[in-house]
Amino acid sequence: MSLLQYVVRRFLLAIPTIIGLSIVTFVLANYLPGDPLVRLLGERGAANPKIVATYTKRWGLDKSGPERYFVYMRNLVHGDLGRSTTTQRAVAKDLFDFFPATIELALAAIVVAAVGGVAAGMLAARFKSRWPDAGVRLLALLGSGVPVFWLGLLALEVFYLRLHWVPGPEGRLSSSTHVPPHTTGMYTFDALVHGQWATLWDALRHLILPAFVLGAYFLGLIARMVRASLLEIGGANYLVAARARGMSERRIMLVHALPNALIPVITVLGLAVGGLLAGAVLTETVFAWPGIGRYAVDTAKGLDYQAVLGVTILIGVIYVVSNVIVDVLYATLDPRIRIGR
Amino acid sequence: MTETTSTIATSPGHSTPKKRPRRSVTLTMGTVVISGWVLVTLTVPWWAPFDPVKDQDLHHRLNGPSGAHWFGTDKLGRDVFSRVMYGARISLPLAISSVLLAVLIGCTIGAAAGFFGKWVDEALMRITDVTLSFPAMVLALAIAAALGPGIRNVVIAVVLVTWPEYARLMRGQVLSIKGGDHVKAATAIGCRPGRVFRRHVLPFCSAVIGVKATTDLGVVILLAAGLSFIGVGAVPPDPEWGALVSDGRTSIAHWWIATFPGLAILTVVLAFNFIGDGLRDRYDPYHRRRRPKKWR
Repeated sequence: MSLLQYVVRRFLLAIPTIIGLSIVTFVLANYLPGDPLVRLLGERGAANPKIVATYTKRWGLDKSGPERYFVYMRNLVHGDLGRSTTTQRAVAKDLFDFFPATIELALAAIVVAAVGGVAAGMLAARFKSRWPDAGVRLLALLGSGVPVFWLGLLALEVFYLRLHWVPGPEGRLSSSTHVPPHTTGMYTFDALVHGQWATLWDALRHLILPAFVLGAYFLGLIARMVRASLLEIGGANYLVAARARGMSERRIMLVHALPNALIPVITVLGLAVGGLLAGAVLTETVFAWPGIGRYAVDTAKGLDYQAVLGVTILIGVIYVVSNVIVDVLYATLDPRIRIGR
Repeated sequence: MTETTSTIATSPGHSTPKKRPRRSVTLTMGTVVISGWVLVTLTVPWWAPFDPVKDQDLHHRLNGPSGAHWFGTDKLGRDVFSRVMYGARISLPLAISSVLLAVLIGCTIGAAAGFFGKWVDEALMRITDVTLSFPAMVLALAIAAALGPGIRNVVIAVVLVTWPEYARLMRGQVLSIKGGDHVKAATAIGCRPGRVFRRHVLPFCSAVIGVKATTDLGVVILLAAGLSFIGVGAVPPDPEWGALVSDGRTSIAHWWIATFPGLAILTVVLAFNFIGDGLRDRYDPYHRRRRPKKWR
């Protein structure tokens, strides 16, 4: 199978999953115990016959189940995710506004996890069974069981309250800093593009701690994987050959071993996208980071269900798409996968 | 425990490994920690110094750790130590019951799909595909938010997001075992499908499922604590661990409020991971860890 065929096939296979996703959210909205009208419109909205009538018409609530699903689907495709009773705005608009903050945080966390994880994994493999190895493995082990919200609170306690290295949980910028002009909605990027160095610095100071907390788990995971795969290919013939030709240990590690050891890491990064978005729900709550995770939590507490479902469906779609991208990347790097199908 | 010899022997310059004591050490450590927490769960009412909910003492609110209050007191003057210990009575049964339910539901459906094949299988795989395409935390949040707060609803949410993994695992197991010669032989001598399944297929699945269930106990505790932390899980006076950590969020200066329940979660999750890894090395032939060679 050619690469192109594989890519097309993989994308087509994602379509049923995305349709399934919409069915799940549809069922959650309409068929869980409790009055769906109250859930979707709020107590006050459900008590107002005018609102109920408009809503019933727009979402086809007077029709049968399957018909109602098609109305729902049609609205979804047109980007209509309903209205939030918390913000009194269209959910799609809210998501559009809150999403860049989450992307910024998740990207920063991925960078932290990838750079830190690869470095730590190399260190551990190079000094196997000595203290750097033990240290990295201990940290990776702790990282696998640590609740991310607790880690966030501890980090704030240490780096904000005791050491004053970073600002407190006040969101993305200090109150005295102006928001940079909107290009992507990611403040660090926008500030960089517009050359506002003070704003960039302030945004980075706010970003660094949540990014580390969110990325910690995957940092540990990547470190463990890089370590394991470096050790696995450690005795490979081409490395022995390189050594025989008198290459330095550093060059062998960086040029010959590392690229091959990194292929499995790509899978982890793909899974990380989902994990990071899920972790963002908790991390954003701890750091008062105004992204879609915190939006989901705030609206869930306010029993604002259309907003919750909006976030759910957005994250679900991103997760599916990122899995496809990972599969494609993987197939590009490792031809055996394509042939295997 | 001899499977490593072949891989090691092929690599020149390495002595045969010693017998592996480390693995059983982690398994033992995990078992000890969990046994400790189970003991706490069963006996805490007899020795806890304070009632976790009723003993409020506003004169001694937000006090740091001391002889009287080992883990300090919270904003209502309740003893954090007692609350953390009583928390085990919520978190452990919650995790165990959720995982048991998920195993029961998932394995039944997965076994049916694997055993009967055809459209049952097809339908099931589509359902699991979809459920697994949400990050668990997000889907659990959506379900818990719809059902409203409360421990029972947390269990429902957790079961709904975890059962598909068991279904998929069980299906795979059944599919690979049902083609085996012993199954054909049993069918040939006239065993009914039910008996074939019970006596000749099921016993071979239990190891893999058991290992996953053990590790998942830790995952579920994290998930449930996360739900409580953001306020869609346990209802306030209940000393659920995630909710206790959440209490510390409003006053990070009083570090003891969040730190100790967090440590409780950490120890339990790590212990379940240890046990899961240990069991996998012992019982699951497919996942035996290869012993990594040395760099150079």
